[in-house]
Amino acid sequence: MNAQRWQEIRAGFDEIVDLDPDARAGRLAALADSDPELHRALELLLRADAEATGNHGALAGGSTPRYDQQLDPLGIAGRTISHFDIGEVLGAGGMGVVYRAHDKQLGRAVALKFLLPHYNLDPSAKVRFQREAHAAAALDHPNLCVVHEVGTTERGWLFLAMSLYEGETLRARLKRDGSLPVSECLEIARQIAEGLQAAHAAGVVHRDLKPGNVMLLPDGTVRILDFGLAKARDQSMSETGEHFGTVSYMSPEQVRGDRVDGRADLWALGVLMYEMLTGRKPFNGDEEVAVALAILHDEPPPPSTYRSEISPALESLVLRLLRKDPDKRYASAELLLHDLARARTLASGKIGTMLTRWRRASRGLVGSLGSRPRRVLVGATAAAALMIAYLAVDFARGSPTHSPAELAESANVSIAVVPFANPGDDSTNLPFSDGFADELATALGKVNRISVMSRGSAFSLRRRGLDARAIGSQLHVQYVVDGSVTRIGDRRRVRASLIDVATGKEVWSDMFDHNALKEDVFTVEDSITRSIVHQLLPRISTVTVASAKRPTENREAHDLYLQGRYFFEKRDSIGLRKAQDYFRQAIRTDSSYALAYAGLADAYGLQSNFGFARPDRNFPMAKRYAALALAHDSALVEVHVSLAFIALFGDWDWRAAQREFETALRLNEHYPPIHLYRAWYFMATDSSDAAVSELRRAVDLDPFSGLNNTRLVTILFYTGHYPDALAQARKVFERDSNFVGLRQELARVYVNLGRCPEALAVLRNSADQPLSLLRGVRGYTYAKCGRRAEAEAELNRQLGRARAGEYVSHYSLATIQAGLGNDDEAIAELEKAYIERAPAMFVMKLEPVFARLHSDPRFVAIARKVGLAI
Amino acid sequence: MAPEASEVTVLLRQWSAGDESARDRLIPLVYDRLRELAHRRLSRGQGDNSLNTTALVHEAYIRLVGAPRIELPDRAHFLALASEIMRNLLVDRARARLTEKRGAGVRPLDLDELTEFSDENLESFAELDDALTRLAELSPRQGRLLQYRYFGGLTLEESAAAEGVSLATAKRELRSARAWLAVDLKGDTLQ
Repeated sequence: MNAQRWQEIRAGFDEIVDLDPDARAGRLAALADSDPELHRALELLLRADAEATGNHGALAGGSTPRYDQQLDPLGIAGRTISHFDIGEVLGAGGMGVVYRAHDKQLGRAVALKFLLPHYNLDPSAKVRFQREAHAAAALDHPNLCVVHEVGTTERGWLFLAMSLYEGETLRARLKRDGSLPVSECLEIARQIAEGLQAAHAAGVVHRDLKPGNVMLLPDGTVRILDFGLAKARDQSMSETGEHFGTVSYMSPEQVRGDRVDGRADLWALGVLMYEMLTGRKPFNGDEEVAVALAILHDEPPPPSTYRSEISPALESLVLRLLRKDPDKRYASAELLLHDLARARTLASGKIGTMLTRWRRASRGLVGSLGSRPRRVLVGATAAAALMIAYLAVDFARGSPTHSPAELAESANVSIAVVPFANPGDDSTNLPFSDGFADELATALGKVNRISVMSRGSAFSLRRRGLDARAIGSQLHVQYVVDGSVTRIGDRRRVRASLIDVATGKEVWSDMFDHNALKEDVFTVEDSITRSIVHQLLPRISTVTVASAKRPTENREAHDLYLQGRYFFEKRDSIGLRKAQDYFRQAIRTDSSYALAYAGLADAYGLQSNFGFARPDRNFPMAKRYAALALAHDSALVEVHVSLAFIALFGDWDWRAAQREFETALRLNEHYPPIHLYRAWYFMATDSSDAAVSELRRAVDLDPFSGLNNTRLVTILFYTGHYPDALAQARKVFERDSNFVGLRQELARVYVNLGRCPEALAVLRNSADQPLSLLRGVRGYTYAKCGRRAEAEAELNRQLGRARAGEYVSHYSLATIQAGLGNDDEAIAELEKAYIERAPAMFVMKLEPVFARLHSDPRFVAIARKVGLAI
Repeated sequence: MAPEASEVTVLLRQWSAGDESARDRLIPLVYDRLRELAHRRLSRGQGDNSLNTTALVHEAYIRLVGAPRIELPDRAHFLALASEIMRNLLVDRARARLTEKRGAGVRPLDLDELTEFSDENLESFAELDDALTRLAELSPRQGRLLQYRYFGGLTLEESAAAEGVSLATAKRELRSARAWLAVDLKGDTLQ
């Protein structure tokens, strides 16, 4: 085609493109015969045009955001107002519009902020704005934006003239980079905290701290913008019923509309830090209401869920800023600064990050049902424990079939990591190549049975020009890890090899490509370290790995699973529901992910055990998912614990439960949940002593688990060891008086010790606990302590809830009725509890309040149906 | 305010008043600033390695021209020039990187994505550049109009002003140019 032909085609196109479809079709049809080529060309163009007009019809109009058109709401760009030459719009937000401007009187560039016109309508808002603005203008601190002037234009518009800062907002930065390096995050947080401290000292609260209000200057200075302006805005808005800006950074007290002080700014800083560290907001939802609810009610996932290098100190600092109760946050920015300084010191030393990562990985995989997995490893030596964690991560076993003791006894292997070569001496690689060898050495050193030669000697030998094998023989190690880091464009290629010093042979080598701009260095380090250990282990011990399958190869699925576990451990109704969501997503991402199926099964089961959902509905689901978990991996301890749990609480099938427990024990007898649930099996089969010792075993394996310790109270109670139960309950109480169900446990122990005042006192300050087994405790306590009216009121309350459609376990109703001496009603409730398959049914025989009923044939009949010997 | 502001403003005025030598003097100023901005965006740490061409061109505008009291024709001229420079910068980069990663699969070109330049759509930018070159042979002004759109994010008004044509003309020409581009990128040819 030549230019002339194109002119012809274009002319034809222009002529008919805007015709209505009929007319157009007529013209086209006429062309089909006279000029078939033109006809075809026009058809192609018109089709493309139709598609384009549908998809990007804005093309011709210019749909891109523009400074000068879309964002000049005041229509003043290019004009002179007061003594300012107005430039282009720099930004617009809830408060107003900011223009670049030139101050003609003082001859300097300023940022000129106008209150949005609709605020100008309200005289009282105007006054407030001016008052606030003057207070803000009085602030003078290197981390606060300088306000030069507060004034009114000839037209009566309020404005603020501020220093004009070249730089970008934290919002822009986060949008571009996602998350920030930890050290930078800490520095930005420090400067913000310094600014807040100064402002709070002057009695000014920001109230609207958010990334768009934080300016990052090229010299590294951070300036907070818009101090104190939000108050006037919020007031005028709430008066007019208008909509606030983003709720994402609002503190719970702001969401509720409560009084706000400087601690609301500390909360907002917590949200900022969370976002800088993880690239995510801590509280999310599809719409603002959902975000607001999340702010009020949800605990954010710990930042380390998303970024493993975050130190525990930093994590707890961020989470402390995000405490719902302002009293539990830092009392002042000054106190925060103190902890920030500490977190910075800790963050500057890299040691231990790898270890932390492993622990975290093991937390998700080794830990499961019924424990706080962080403590799973207690009891073994730390190193052996890590090894277990390691195998868990790497080889998909919940744990190897070897006890930590066996692992610890096997022979050591010595290894040296030499500094990775940096061909071409690319200086940008240096921190990476050196740091990498360092991290790898540290990481390997934490693995039991691997002794790592000191880093210093390997480094100095390398400097003397020795090759890897020579370094190995000088250091008398069996293996040397060597490698190189090269850069190709934006990619880094890491080559690592493991050399057997005796033979000089490469045992293993591998190459890892890593996009320097996109991937976290830690990901690369992790996979290399894993591969090396994977190669080493089979050579250095008798450890046999039953399966080389990982729980999942899919990182995203793994992340989702870990988030699910986090919520699962909360064991409240919201947590369990969220856990289900995450496990489902993990399964959608990797449909063969056995652990996620097991997690989903457990969540269904626990919902019923805790009385959040009808057992006759939930246990069939739990069964289904447990079966899927088993189908995908039959060698995971978690899967067999799920199966045992369902057999026990869902099916009342003691023999099946026993079988699954035995399988689980063979897989990993150190897995605490086995013992936690196996205790219940012994309760059902009349072996009280075994039940108690089984639970004690769970506590030994995981001594700081609130759950295990509280369940020990439960078991001691049902086995009639009231003084022991009391002592145990008090022990837990001292540590965490609000642990789920603890107060109820304590109350009923007191009741059975005849100590009513204490029982009532314990319940006085407690919320209703969700555990179905314990829902009746309040009513039961009233009944047994001579408060009949209150007991009946409690009973009616629960019946009312049940009538309103809420699931209320008949088992708890039966305990209240029995406490009131209403034996017939109690039996009737037990019948219903049997029909709904209340998980607690198999302790009915041990429930003290039912003791009187043991001679009742109806009671005996129910107990037999449940499978209890009576 | 940027130090070059006044110089750039003066040159822009001269250029839109018809002095083509002013354009030649402007080019290095705009080129340096754009390259610096693009380079900083694309090489910053762990970013997502993409840049928004429109935003970049406008940032360059603000930094270089500063004073927004500039007339529409002057702004349009600046943006038009910047879009051309942007195109050269990006296409050079795309081609350089493509030679590094030969063999990588070619993705179908999606015009909607093309205000964001990133590693994922290097091919698309190179392809777009080829297509615009072909179109410019058939109709130079249409080639430029699309260039303004994709590499500078000029509005219709600015495009019209940069070309010294009426809005209606710019609109009409853009429409058929866009259709031509879509056909061309699909691999079809008009006879």
